Amino acid sequence: MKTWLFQNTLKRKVFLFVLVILVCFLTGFIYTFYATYKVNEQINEMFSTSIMLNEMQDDMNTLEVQLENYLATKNSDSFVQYLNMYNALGSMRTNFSYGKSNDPSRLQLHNIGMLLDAYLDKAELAIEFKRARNTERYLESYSELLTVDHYINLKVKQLEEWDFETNLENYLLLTEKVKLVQNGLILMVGLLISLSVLFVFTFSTNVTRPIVELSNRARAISEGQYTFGKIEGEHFKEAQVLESAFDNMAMHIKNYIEELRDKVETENKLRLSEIEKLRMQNLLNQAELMALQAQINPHFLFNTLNAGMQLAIIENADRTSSFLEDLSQLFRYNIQSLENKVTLKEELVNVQNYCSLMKVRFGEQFIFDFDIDEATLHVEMPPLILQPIIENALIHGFKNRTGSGLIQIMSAMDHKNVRIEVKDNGEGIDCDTLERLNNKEFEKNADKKGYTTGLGLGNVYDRLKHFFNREELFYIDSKKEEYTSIILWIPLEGSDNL
Amino acid sequence: MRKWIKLLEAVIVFSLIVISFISINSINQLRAARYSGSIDKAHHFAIVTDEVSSYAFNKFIEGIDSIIDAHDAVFEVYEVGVQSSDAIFDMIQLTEVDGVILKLSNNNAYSSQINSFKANGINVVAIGNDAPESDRDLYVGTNKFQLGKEAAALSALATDRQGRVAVILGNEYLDDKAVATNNFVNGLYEGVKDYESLSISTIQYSTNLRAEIIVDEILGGTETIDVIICTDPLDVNRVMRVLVDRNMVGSIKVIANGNTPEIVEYIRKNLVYASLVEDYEELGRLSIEYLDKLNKEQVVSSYINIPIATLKKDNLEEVHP
Repeated sequence: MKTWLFQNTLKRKVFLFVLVILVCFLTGFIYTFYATYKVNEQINEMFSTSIMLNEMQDDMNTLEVQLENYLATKNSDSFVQYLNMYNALGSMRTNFSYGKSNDPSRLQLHNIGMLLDAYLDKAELAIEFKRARNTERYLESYSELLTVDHYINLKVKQLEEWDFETNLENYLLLTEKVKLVQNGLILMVGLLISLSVLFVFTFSTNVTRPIVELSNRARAISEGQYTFGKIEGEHFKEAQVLESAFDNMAMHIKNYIEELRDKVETENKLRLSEIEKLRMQNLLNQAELMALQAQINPHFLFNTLNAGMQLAIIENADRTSSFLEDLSQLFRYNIQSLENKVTLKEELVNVQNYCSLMKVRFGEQFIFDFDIDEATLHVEMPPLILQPIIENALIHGFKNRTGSGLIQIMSAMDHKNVRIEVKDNGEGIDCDTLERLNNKEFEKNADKKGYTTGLGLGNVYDRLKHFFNREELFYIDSKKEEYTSIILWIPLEGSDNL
Repeated sequence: MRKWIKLLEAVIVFSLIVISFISINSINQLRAARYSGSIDKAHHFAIVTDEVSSYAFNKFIEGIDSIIDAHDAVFEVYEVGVQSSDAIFDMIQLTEVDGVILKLSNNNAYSSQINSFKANGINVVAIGNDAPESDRDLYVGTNKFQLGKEAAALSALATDRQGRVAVILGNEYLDDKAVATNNFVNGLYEGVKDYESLSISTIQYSTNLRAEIIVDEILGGTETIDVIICTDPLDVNRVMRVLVDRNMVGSIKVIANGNTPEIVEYIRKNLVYASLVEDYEELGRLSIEYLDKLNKEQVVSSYINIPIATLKKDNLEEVHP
């Protein structure tokens, strides 16, 4: 009981609210009761004197009758009755014990008291004379008693006239006051109702405010807001608990969503990686497709080329025969799967075939110089890596050159790598293009002329990267109008594992 | 918003308290009004009179009211006629009053009752007219005979010593049996004697007939009237209305009695020639004062005369500036 009463709980709030309303209306009721009681008291008081005087006159009448009986018959019953009335009037005398008041009514009561004394004296005298058997005197006393009775009646009548006037004035005054009290009551009831309405409003606001605030927060959470300030004002304990629980819930939701976001981001990264892999696969497929396209009726082509070679032998055309043989080997090498792995030696043989063909085509315009370390020949690598590089040198390096060109193909051991360099003395690459190429930003649509494989530098780089699963494999060095050198680092270790 | 509501609540609670206080106070005031000023006094005096509605009596009571508290006394009025004089005197004795003031038209007629009072130790003061045959303690009043002579003298002055005078008696001059009436009328005749051409034409009592009718009858008669003497201030107003109606203001002189605002205004406008002023208030004050002295067993004179003042336009500014 004590605990909840001194805590800011909803139960206490409801209890106090009901209590206040009850007190308000109880106060109104008590006030009404008091006002009614006071008015009733005043009305009683207005007539109290009249009632008292009326009783006195009744007693006097009874006394006179009993006294007369006693004087006439000496009846003991009458005497007893007389004594009763005498004592009653004697007791009543105290009600007239007013002084010489300046209030006319009180002065008149004082007079009546004096006359009552005389009245009772006359009565006693009559009794005494009766006992003394003095008939003349007791009759005289009785007669005087009746005279005094007449005086008392005169005074009572006068007093009642005055009292009537006073009571009339008091009644009018009372009516006026009652009207004032009634108006006051109406006003009080109105004010009490207003006060109750305000209390109800305050109470309902206090109770519903935190709930409304919590519902607003719920809406805000649904819209993605999770941080809130404290709800303003002092609220009951349950609301504070709700607020605290709500804040905790919002915090948990926020943390959970952040975790979820991190997870999604990680998954996205993974998905991007997968996409990258798929893209590489796509490139491989593309290269393979191109290779397949190049295999259009390869047997027909080989048979035809062999037929041409035999024809050349029959006709003693040695150079033609050699040319066709080189071409035939080149085609054979070219149509193999790009996922195969070859040795540097096989790659160099293919390059030499290509160079022989180019020499037939361009004559002494180009010089191909091979500087190969024997130790490097067995290193493994993807096929068709060097041929596209040499094709690029022929196409781009000497595009605007009329003089002879030198293309050097070199290989050497370089720590755990084989360093392969294809260098030409062509027109070189401008700085921007060079920077772009070294940043591995290759053009998608490579120049596809009839004298190339169609595999650009980008393709070469991508295949090397996936083959060796590393990126530091490729570097281009060039100086405008002087040279271009493409350097490959083929790892000695690791390629076997692939 | 919340602050406003709290403020409003505080205002309502305050209003409720104020209204409750005012309402309860109003109810409690009813008791106070009923007994307000009710104080017990040391002395109880009885005033016995046979006329309670005259100007003189009202002024007399005003005088008593002004001084009664100072003498720690209360008074009550017994009117002969409403109750018999025997009953009144009997009741006064039975209620053991401390003093009696007799203001009757013929105090001397109640000499035996006065003696009875004195035998019972009750002091008696006669007002207006004396009761020389009784053991009364004191007489306080004006000399009505002298007042009559003064009225005659003013009439002579107003009419240049020749003319006919009509007299309308009211106020304390109830009828021709009253001692005051006899004294006043005797004084009037005595005063007229000094002027050969001045005579009393008629004497009427406004207790029997209203003053307007009396004046109408007088003016409608065969004899011409030059002066009207009125002993009641109310009658003066009535007489003046008739004179105005008949356009006789100025041609008939009026000798009034009293110093009411209306009479003062009439004198200022020359409508009334003069007014004889008896200080009835002083009469009331002195009666209580001397009764109190008698109760305290002080030695007092047995005859106290109240002087008469004459109000004319000449001295009006001095008396009523």
